[in-house]
Amino acid sequence: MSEPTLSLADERLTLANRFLLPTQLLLVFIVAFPLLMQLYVSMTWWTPLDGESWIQAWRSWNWFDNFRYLAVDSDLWAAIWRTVLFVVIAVPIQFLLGLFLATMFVEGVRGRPVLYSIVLMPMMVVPAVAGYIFFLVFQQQGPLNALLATFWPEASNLNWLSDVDRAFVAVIIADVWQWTPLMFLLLYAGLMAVPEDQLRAARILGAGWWHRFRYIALPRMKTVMIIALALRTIECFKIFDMLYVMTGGGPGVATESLSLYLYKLTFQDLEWSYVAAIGLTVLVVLSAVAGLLINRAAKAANRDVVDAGARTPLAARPAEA
Amino acid sequence: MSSTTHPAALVGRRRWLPSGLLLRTVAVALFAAIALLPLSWMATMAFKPPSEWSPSSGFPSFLPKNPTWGNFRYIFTGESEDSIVSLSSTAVMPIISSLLTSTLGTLIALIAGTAAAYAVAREKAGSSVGLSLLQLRIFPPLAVMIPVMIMWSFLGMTDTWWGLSLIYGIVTLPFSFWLMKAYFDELPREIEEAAMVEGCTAFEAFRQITLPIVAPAVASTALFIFILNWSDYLIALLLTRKDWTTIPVYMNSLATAMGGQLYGAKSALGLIAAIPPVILGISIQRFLVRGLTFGALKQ
Amino acid sequence: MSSITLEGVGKRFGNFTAVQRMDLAVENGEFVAILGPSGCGKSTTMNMVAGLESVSDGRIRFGDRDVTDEPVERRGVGFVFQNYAIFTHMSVRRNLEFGLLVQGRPASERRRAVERMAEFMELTARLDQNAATLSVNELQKLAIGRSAIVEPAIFLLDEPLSNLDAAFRERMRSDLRQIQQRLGQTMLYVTHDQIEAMGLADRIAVMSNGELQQFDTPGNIYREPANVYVARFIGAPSMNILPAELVEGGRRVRVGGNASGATSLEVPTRYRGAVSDRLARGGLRSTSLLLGFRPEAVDGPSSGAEPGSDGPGVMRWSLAPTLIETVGRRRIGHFELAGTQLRGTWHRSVPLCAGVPVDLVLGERNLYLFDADDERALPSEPMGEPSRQLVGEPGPRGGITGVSS
Repeated sequence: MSEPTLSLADERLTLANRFLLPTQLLLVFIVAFPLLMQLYVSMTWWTPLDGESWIQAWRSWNWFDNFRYLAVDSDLWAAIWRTVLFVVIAVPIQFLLGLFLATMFVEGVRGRPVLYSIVLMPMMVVPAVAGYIFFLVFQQQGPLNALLATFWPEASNLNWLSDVDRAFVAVIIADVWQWTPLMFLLLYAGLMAVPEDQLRAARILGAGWWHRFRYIALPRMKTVMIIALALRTIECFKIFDMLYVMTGGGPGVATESLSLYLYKLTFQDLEWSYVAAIGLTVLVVLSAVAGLLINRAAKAANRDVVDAGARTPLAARPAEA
Repeated sequence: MSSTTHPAALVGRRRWLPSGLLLRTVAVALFAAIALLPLSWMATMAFKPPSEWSPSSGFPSFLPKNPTWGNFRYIFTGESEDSIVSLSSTAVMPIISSLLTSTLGTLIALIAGTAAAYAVAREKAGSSVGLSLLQLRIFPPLAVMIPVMIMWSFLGMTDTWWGLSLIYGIVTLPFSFWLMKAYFDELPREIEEAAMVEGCTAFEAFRQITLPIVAPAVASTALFIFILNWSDYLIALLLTRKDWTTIPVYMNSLATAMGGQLYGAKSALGLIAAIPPVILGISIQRFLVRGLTFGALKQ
Repeated sequence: MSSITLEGVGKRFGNFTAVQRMDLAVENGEFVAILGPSGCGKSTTMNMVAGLESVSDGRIRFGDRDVTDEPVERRGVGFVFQNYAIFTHMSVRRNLEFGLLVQGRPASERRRAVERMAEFMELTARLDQNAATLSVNELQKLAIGRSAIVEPAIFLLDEPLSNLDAAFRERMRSDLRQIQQRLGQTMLYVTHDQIEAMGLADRIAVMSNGELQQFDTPGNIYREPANVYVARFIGAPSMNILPAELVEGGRRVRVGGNASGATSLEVPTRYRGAVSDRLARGGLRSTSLLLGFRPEAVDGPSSGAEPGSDGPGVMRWSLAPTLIETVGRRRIGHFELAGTQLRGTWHRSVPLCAGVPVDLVLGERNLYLFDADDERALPSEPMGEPSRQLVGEPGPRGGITGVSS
């Protein structure tokens, strides 16, 4: 047995620092340089159309003009508004449907394993492909109209993807289709984690399903619900793939989300410095919001630590308080 | 108790349970049908000859009247017996690209993420790494893509397999980090210490003791991240041109000079793109809650 | 307040019979313990009474009311779970008032009821704290209070003391008894601990393998076990059981075969009728019996019986102990006879030595005969005066005389 020249603890620390290196390098690579670059470019008028490399961007320095324009760009704010509207409608619908589905499964259904797998499928479909699927589905001569036409003949004239309002509805339907399973997955896990003996105790005390849901299940599902809503809201806000493939932002700009607008600016108008400015602003705002929320989450986690003390097994408790 | 009722059931058994069970099963089956129908529409479209892609009148039928492999042949060879213009590029490269870059990206994320997770879990070194990684996932990709595109082009990584794999690895790093950290947190430190007392170096202890224990977790995490990479669209759209474009991007870009909509061909591609993640996803379904919540929730 | 009647109640899970059809009649205000080892079906039986399990056969009645098909929520029983199932995310107050809340009682009424119950359970100081911060004792009181506040006619308790260590169990046992007597409810109490059952219950239902073995007062169960199982289950150390044979035409019973130490004795008076019936019926196994006696029934050298007074019905045995144990106030001697291990207990002051023969003296009242095959006690005719109480026997009103466990 060889004598370690370093103590065990030191050796482990050294290994840890080495292990951290790749990730730290990647982070610096992907965060530090791009951030500085973005800051630099955002204060110029540079676009690839200039024909020069970005390093020469200082030649068209404009300080905060891009940012000023950002504040008054009606197209930008329209896109933001559309995105917000989209999120505010689609996410609650997914949530409620997912919750409904979760309670159905918990109460019991026949053929649970098979139904469970099938119900989960939509969220595993590549979002771009899902976009294409619904592009096909919402065709005027497509299957949806065919289905509707069986009891409402006028449906055969229904135009989804080229009608401003109906296109918006169509993308909401597509998003709900794809992501309700995710809500279901998380909420089902949360519902299953509700202690069954407490539910039984509540039943014996005379509580019907509503009381049990409201007083026992719901309070214990707060964390899961918050996580599910947060996850989906963030992702929904970022939505790009499905919209791009399904409608391309159209008709016109009817379904142009923030991401799609940025894409348009980047590849159609080639306003790269402006996009850089928008990007930076979004980063700053989101960082601030995320920081706030993480702070509150940390405080809530501390509260849970106190509660965790309460969850010590009965045998380990003190006899008298 | 009935084998289909979970003990946590809010309603529980009553004499009329059979009809309650039936109602619930019907409701869920409805959801299942809604889940399957759009998918199967595209699936059947993939086997329809061009004549059935758009009906001349009325509505198209669900099943193809003359099912054919023609669409698949078309996307792989670029030629078709029906009067469609040939493709300038086939689907072969995109499939290779998706496979290669998704796998490599997964490897990069796994190796860097697992190592970092081990370091943070065990020694609490660099604890800000986790938070930074989390923030990476909050930002809309397009808010940061300009500098990334510039960088990639500057470094000659645009439209290359290594460039794409690298960015895939970086973007899914948060998942591998947080997921593996959760697993390492659950393992007691003593495991490695016992080995090190016997004369192992810290690295040997990690490699021979810790890794085998977390191997299943690594496997599930790897599959999960692979699905994420495979499903990407935006990054490939921005960072590839013709050579290394991936299946989803290639699929959407399919168009011919005739301007006709290649429903069948695109559907065939969509099927090829969609099937692997669905199969993988179902095989790791127990892992999904963990994966999607960065290890915060367990199933 | 209500009686509980089980008529032919049984429970099957697929091919597995958890509870064989049984009849049980618990009287109004009675404290009945269901006693048995894990897996004997006692919890399943309780769950059927509560409505947490459906019934495969039979009917359950509360008083006149047939509740067999009523769902849990409507049965109106109180139930205390083994791990209390307290709503850990709610305050103590909320836990207590939950039953009333669910009934839709107005807030003022709930408040009054909660305050009264909290005082009764000595939980007033904790009312607005989170229930999860309570100590184990308080949790148990809360569990009982929560169920009691809706004034159920019937109270069911599923091994409520099994989470506590021995020191607390004793205290909780007496607390529980007091509570039951104050509230006056009909109580069904599931336990695997015989000392608990013997000490708390008015009557005990002993179960094994889903079958009800005997339902009687603790005293009767101790003195007149219905079969070998019950005889062995009650009492610690458990009853000694030896293979025995009827000899001399049924006048004597012989134990120990031909081994040294074997002896024969007169068939105890109360069994004489049953014995002659057996022999009259004849059959191969009619002479095969099991003889039982409790370790604490052995009197030994310093007994009240005089040496040499081998009156009728007193068995005298000379055996050398192989091992002596001293536990608390008792001395336990281990013996061996024809391959069977026997034990006897004496007061610790009694001198015993390994290898030195002692006299085991057993009055006929302390000898039990069982059929060798179905292990059921032979029918006995009631006798005159019961013998003096043994150490370890249940006292007249619950409680166990002189035993520290």
